[in-house]
Amino acid sequence: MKTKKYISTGIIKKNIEVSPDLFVMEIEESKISINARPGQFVNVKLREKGYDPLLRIPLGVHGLTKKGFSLMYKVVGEGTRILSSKKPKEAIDVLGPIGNGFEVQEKTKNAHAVVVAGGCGFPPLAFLAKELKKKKIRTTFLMGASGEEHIRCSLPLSGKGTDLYIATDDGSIGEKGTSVDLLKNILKKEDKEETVIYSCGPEKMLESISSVAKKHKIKAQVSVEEYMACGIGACKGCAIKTKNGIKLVCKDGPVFMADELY
Amino acid sequence: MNLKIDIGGVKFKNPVWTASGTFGHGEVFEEFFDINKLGAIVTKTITLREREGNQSPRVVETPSGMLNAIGLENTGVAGFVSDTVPFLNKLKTKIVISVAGSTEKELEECVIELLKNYIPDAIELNLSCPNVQHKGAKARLFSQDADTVKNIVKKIKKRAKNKCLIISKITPNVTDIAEIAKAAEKGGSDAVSLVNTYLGMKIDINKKKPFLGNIQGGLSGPAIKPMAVRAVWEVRKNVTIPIIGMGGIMTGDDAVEFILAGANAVQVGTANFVDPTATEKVITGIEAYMKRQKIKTITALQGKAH
Repeated sequence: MKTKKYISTGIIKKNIEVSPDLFVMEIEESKISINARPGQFVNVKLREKGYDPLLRIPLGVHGLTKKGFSLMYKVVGEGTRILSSKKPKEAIDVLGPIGNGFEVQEKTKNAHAVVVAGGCGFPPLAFLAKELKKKKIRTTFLMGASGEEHIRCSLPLSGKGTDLYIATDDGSIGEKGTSVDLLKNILKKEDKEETVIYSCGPEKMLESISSVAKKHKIKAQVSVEEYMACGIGACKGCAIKTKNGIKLVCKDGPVFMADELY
Repeated sequence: MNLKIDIGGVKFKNPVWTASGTFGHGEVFEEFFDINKLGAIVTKTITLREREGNQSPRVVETPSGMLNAIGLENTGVAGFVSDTVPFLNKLKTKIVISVAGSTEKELEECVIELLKNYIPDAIELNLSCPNVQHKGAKARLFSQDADTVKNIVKKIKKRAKNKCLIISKITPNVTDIAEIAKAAEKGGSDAVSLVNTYLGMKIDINKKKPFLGNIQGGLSGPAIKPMAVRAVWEVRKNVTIPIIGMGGIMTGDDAVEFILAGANAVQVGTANFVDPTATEKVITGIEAYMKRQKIKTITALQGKAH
């Protein structure tokens, strides 16, 4: 499903460090937020003037707010560091919404959404979880992370209709293991007919999820990332190999069926 | 204010063109502005046969610029004719088709096949992409050798039979770019376009490996502008054919620099990745400059800094 893209100047309402190096930015604007769907992303301009950095950075839409949308990002390099230094009331230039987004399943009698998040893959899945809740689809949210930063952010998602399970590498919070371990356990006890898996996270995690899904004959949608330049399908920078030929993460993705990739 | 220019008898509504590989064929930019406002659209390079392109990562940012090693991914001339030509035929601006080949023969065959099915306003010979291997050639890139350029252009001009302009896009990865431009002129090129990207690399110090899948790539963006302006300046001193200048143009003022250095037209590339409406802003930026300077026609600025 194609969405029209906008170059929109929003106003930063909040830019808060919710956990060490993990920020949530709320942006007030009306063109992108009206059309954004879970799994889509935006390309954020870091400098109003000047060329360092030059290119925009792609970030998954984390959610919708009353008058705009939110982004959740970890400070991992120069671009995200600059983003973290922006203050409320500052203008910010954003291009989006970009990409296809997740295809949210129909609300059938036994519809079950299994959302598997690994570390930095959490933000777009938080958006998805809220959408699933709106559609009243029973959701199992599996959160795996090496540290507690994203985990704390996943806690508000649990509630009526959404079961949350957590796994950490050292077992300090939740189970000891990975989100893939959680997935294997969940699927053991579930009737899989109307189950769809949605996932975002490190590539190795997505590959493992794909084999688990294949084994249980469940459809899995994965959101991938690749270094990109234009974000709109012109430069062919973000090309990836799929079973159906070369595809662009920005234009044909970022969400692909797992069995198309792995 | 008159922004019209003439290259080899073909009239362009203004001197702002898109750089090959940065604009696709224009489709994905239509939702941002009216692309018919452009002087010309130079399309992503096509080759005789389909190409998958290079291994990822294909792009990475560098100070005030970026490296790309896309590798001329394209559906081949046959795919281009069936998938893209119908779209191009609906546009109301000049169309320049960029063509490349890993051998001279392939390049020639691609031009022949293209012209059998579609006559553009110009063909831009990509003699300078650093992300492919030119097999059996004297140099790694065709436009690193003057004789090669002269001979290729001569052959292509013969094949094209004046159906469209032939523009030679040359590489700055040479000792003397003016020498190469002169060779293109001797071969009969209607114009030269420069610069293609500069060879460059970035190393990931955490993985201790080159960043790009293809290891080396082409540098573009504001970082290369001073070198590109200088290249246009040198070529202007040495050829009489029109020059299309490019290399880090982000604004109308940048474009004016190239025109003053001797360019008849300019191409805007990397800027499109930062702002999809960049080319439109370059046009209005040139108009604003002309208004400030009380200049009525763009041609009055060509080469004026010499």
